[in-house]
Amino acid sequence: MNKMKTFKRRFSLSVPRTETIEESLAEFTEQFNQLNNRKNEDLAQGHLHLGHLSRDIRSQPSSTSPSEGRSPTTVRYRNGNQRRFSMEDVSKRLSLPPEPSLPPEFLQKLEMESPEISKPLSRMSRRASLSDIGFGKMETYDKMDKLGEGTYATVFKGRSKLTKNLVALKEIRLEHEEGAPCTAIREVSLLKNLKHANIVTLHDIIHTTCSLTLVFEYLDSDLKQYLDNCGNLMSMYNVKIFMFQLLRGLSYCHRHKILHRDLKPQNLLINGKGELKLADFGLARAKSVPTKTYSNEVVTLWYRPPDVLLGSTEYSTPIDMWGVGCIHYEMVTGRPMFPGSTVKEELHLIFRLLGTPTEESWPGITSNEEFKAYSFTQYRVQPLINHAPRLDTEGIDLLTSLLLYDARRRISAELALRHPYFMTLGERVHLLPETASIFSLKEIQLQKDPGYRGSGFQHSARGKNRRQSIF
Amino acid sequence: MVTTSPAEGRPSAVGRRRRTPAKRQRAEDVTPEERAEPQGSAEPGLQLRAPVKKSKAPPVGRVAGRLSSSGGCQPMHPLELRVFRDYGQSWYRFRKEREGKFHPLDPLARQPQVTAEARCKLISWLIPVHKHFGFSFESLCLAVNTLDRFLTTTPVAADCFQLLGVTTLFIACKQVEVHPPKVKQLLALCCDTFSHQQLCNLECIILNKLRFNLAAPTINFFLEYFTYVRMEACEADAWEANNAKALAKGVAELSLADYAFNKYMPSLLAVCCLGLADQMLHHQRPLDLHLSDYSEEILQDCLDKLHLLVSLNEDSLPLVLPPEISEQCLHVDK
Repeated sequence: MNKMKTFKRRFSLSVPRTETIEESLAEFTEQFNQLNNRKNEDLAQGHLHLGHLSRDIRSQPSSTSPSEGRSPTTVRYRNGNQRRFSMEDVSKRLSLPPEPSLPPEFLQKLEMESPEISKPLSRMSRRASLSDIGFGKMETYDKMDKLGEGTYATVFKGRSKLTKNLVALKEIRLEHEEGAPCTAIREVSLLKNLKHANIVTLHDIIHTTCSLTLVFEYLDSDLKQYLDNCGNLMSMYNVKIFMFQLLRGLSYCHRHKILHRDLKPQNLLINGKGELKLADFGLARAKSVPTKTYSNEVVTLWYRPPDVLLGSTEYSTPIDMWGVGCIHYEMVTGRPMFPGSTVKEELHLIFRLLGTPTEESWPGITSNEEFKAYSFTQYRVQPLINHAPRLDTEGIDLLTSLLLYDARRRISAELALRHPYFMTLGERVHLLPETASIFSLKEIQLQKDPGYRGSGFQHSARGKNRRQSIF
Repeated sequence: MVTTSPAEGRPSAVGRRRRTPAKRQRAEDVTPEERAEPQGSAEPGLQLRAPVKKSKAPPVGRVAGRLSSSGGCQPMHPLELRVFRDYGQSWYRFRKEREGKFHPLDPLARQPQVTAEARCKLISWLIPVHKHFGFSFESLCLAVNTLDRFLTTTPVAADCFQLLGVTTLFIACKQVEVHPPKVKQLLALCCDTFSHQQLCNLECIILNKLRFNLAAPTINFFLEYFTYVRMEACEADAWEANNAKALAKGVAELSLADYAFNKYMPSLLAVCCLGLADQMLHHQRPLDLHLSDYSEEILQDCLDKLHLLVSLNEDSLPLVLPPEISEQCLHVDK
């Protein structure tokens, strides 16, 4: 008890520690070690055991735990009570698959006090009942064709046995050096809060020890394929409908302080009805956009705004609006707007078309060190109409407001929806409830694309290179 | 990109509508009362635990903490301001709506081993840790929220409480930081008491238990929102607004570590921290606390407790603040 007091006294940490952080950390840990030492009489054995388990855990998920034969572990409580817990009890209460997943040493530390505590929230008890009918369980889904594979995730087409609906199963492997991948944590935690007709729905999460499966609604195509299928010649009316849906989804994200940060045609999923949905939120909310994926593939630069290309980290919602402009252009003309393969080439392509930025078009640019270092040729701005002759005046005006260098002047998704370009869609599109599809209005109907090749669209011929985006 | 600081903004007479004489009156009334309160004698029912060692002299060697916390004083970027103008209101409404859902209700109520004191120690340790790595205040807020919500679901033994702390910080950083820490680094912080496997397993358990509900509204967001609102209302206040935000962040840090403040919603804490900071810095145009939709009574209760917390920690608070702010409030409130 005396020891405990000293421990407490020495331990009364203050916010501003007087020692260096390292010292205080060492102290803190030392205390924890002491505590551990007193708790586990045989620490060495515990460690040995842990090491043994670490080998076991993920490679042999079905094997029985080596600890099963051991007597239940004793845990000493503060109040001196002695309680006994068996592994089975603990793992059951933790509602995890049985022991192979966890070192027993660790489980015993997470023991449960009383059964009631495990149902503190009504939401949680609702989850439990959902799981009774199959939610959160892999058995509920039939796995079908593999749609693609990356370092961190594999995507399968699947079917829910409950609803008979097609789903996309995105399996994320969790056994990495650094635990659960950031992209998975971000994507799931953000998507859980988003419910909108133009954002892909996350139906279910299946969390097992070594993998996480996200169950998404299934859409059979994406904008890139859609463009391929109509020979890169889209009906201008359809371009407008797609643009409106894209902006609608994005405006919803931005209103929730979520940036997509990785907009590109591959990430815009499209179903047979022409409903467009934003997908792949793995990069959302990260403070910087990486240039390489985990699998070391280069992230496309084509839709990235020049301020980011020049190394700005002070960006916010306008970062997504530039990409919207590029996608708009691509739908109108059938070809990517700035298909650069390096940062320099990307900037060069942008400046050649939109003019090399000046203090007027981009306040502060002339003092940007990176920009100066490139010393670009002075290009003059070219009229966009020459490059996108099929686009009407309002469309050109919208495109121009999306492709402004000064991020502060770039039009917001909110305002873009109100742009005269969308006037022909009528007033009712602005009154739709968030979860209602634009096609729930009878006046909105997809037209036949002039370059549409007919039956090829619904076919699985494209199956192989589908949905690369989803990684 | 324009980088003129709003702090240099031209003085402007507009936008003072929110400041009422009565408000100032009230604010000043509180202070003497609070000063009279003897140090350390909290109300009996109040579990105020000052996360501070008062006996020690001001530290010399804590450069890391100081450096990173001075970021709190940085004025709002013009782009950020514009985006707030576009979306601030809906961000606020959305977060306000959700904060109740993410609010942990008395997480220690059913904990057999973890006490308010242990929680205070752990978070008081996480504060310098997150600064040491240069992580944002947002990460810290998220980590504490994840920690508390996990505690409402699962009883935790004292000996793995520290592991829980670093793991929640790990998860928080994965959500919002550019460079989350490496597992190795976190384990080293705990002097390798825990294994890689244990940390990763705990991460899985937390994610599973909380069903990936991790994007909680934070005090940090509300501090930024209210600061933006007052800057919009009166441009000339930018300097005051930024100073108040920096001090309020320091106060908010203290309140995170103190279990007595667990019952307050992030938005209430944020607005009261700013209100208190205004008082402490004797600002001419303080934030109108009623922007927050809380009643006078609730605001006052929270303000009083924060005031007490600050007076209990007056030696240490200046150390977590940017030097220029700490100098100012050193002369105040003693």
